[in-house]
Amino acid sequence: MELSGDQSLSFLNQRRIDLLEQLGAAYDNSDLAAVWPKVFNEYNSVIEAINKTLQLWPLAKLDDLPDEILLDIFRLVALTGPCIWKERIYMVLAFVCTRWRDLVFGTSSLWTVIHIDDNVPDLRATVTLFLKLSGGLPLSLSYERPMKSTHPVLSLILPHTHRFTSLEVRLMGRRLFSIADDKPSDRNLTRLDRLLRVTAFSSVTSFSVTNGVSPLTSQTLQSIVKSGDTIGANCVIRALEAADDSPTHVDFSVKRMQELYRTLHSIESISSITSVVVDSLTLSPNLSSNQLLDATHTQLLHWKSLTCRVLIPQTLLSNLIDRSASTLTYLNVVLDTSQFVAISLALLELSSLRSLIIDIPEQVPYPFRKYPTVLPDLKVSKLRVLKINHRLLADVGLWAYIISLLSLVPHVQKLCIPPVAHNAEYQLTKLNDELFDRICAMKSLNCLKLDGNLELVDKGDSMLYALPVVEDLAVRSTLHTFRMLKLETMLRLKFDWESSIRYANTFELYGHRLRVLELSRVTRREADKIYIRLMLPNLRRLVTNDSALLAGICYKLAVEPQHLPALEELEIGNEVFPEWDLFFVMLEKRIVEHKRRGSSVRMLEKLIFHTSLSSSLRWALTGRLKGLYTHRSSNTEICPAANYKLRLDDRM
Amino acid sequence: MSITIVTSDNEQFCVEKLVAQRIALIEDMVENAGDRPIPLPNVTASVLRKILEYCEHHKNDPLPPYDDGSRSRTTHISEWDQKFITVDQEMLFEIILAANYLEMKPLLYVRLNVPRVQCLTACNAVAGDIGCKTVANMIKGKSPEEIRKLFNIVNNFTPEEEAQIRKEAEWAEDR
Repeated sequence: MELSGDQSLSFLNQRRIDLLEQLGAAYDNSDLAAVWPKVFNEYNSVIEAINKTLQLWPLAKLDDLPDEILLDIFRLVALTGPCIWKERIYMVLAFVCTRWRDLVFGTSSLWTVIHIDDNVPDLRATVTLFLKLSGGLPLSLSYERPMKSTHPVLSLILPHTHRFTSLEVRLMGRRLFSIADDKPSDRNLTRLDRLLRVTAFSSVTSFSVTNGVSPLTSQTLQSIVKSGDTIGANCVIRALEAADDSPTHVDFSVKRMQELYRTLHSIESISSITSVVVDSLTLSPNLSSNQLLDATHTQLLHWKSLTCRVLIPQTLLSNLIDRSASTLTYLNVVLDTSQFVAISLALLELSSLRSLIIDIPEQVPYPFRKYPTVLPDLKVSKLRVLKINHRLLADVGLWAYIISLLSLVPHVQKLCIPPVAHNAEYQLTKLNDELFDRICAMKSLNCLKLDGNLELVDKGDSMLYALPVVEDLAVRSTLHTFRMLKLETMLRLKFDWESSIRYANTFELYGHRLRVLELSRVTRREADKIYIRLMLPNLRRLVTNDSALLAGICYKLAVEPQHLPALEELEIGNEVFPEWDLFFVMLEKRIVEHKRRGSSVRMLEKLIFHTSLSSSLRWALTGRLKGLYTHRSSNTEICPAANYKLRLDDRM
Repeated sequence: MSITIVTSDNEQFCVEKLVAQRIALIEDMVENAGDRPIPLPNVTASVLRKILEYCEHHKNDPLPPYDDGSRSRTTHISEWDQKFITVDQEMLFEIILAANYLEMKPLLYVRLNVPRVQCLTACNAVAGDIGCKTVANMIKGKSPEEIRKLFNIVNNFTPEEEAQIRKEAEWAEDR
């Protein structure tokens, strides 16, 4: 028996129709006056039966939830506010009813996370409350500032140090707090299994908390130390040495990496390392390769992923790769072109590698560059993703290297390569022809990101025909080289549409399968009126940073709301605003069309702006999208489904 | 391969085994029941239909990791889940209760020999996770009075307690 709302009503209606049919068969319909009282009697008896059932099965209420689920909800509510509000949120919940009050004050585990913030007006009372209500349970403590011996809550905390299992210190000064620095007897941190230390202070001369910690059992240890802080590495090393159970992931950001690497190498359980060094290229860490090589290393049997986000000496890099060769599937490195020789040798052994991402930093000026050599045969047959990112145009030497590399990885499915620099000294035509042949031979290519390379090749159309499974294409200034017919097979397409309207004021695009379309800025005809025709019945997501195109699309959607019927997500690039009047008309018409019976038009669900909006606009948009807007800096995604989300611009 | 489930209102559901295995309680019962239908006396057809819709959508998801309570949680709900949980309050609580009853957590932890108490805690923590997150999102930012109105909760404090609460609320408000 359906018990709730609409379903009960529909059941009743159905039952009524059934009864009428049954009665129609049983009685002479010509005498309706005789039939109706019987119908009503039977109908009423059904309602009575349903009412009885409803009494037997009352509708569920919040009060029906068991205590443990209600407590889980309380914890989730507390998560939504800043740490220092947690206690206040619990107070609000305690004032709802006696059951909630008893739960809040009677559940010690709600009070075990203590955040010490000097901005709390009555910090001492709050900490006392947490310490008291948490009973004897293990505690997690976090604080932002150094706690001097005169700190108002230090005397409260010291007797409870044996209960701390997690310590999060965002330290801006010299000392952690006296339990770690001054009196060894106070360092009763025997249960500590997680330590997160974040510091930006460069003159810290001692850090000894880990001396009092034995052993750390945390599976994750984080240390974020800014450039110049030479203590961070020591901290991590000591903590790692103390960690008998061996962390499996280490995320560190320190300058003195050589000791750290040495320690990391000795821990076999580590399967992934993310190394972020804040220094720029010119301040690259002064690593001593000899030290590293002399150290006693064990084979890094479990490494699957290696990400180095700064340029590090090639000896060190080769060493790291060598040691993890059998298991490494993901390698993201920063390489100067002169280092390609070293990496090539290391690559020889990476038999399991699936993804190779090479970021090339800005290079020394031409003609002082060293060109990479052509690779020997590689054992990277499993490679499926190859990305070579370069902020600048690739020089001819790099270009030749990329071409030779492509011939060795025929099964790559995702390819991203940088554009080549125009240089009158070299015959680029030959290289471009070679590139064309190489790419055409990669029959498994599904995703192809060419940043303008084909401008000279001018053979894009043939290339796509040679590559039957490409569904994701990103090109620049080259669309005119592709036939629209081939684009019919695309799922995702990103391009600069300027070339498409070079000779006309009309922009037309057809694609039955196309789900995602990204159109970049027009530079030539921004002031002109452009006729836009997008025949994309399945387009879900549209991204543009072009105000002219945006205006055209808004106009089109406002006039014909059924246009782009599947569109759910619209992302508008940085510093671009729509014509707001038109935009709101478009939104309103879209909603009306969506609600029209039988309409297949979807409502816009997400609007993503990369620029902060005024509060009046935000509220107006929130109303149109039935979403709740919470102020964020730029890159706010308004989404009625999830209220709001934060989406980061890739360029940030 | 499929199994048959019978709800409290005697409706039968024929469910693909892969889908049913997302429900820990059923996976437990399948081993003992053999080919016989599995009775779920605490779940109605309308609620089970919703739960199976969820299982069907997530049937290929990786098993969630064991939660020892230390994982960082958020109140974020994915888009599909958000649409799934857009139901009236009664159904929302029914889903939470049913998910709790059905121990909707894969049996990964049992296989890992995690003690039963821990396993159940983990199950409860995730079983109605979307439901709990939805309720939490409904509660956040509201005053006690607004919460009472929203969920039809009776204020059962005595007048003295009520007065004390007002006093403490002012104290909390000042902070």
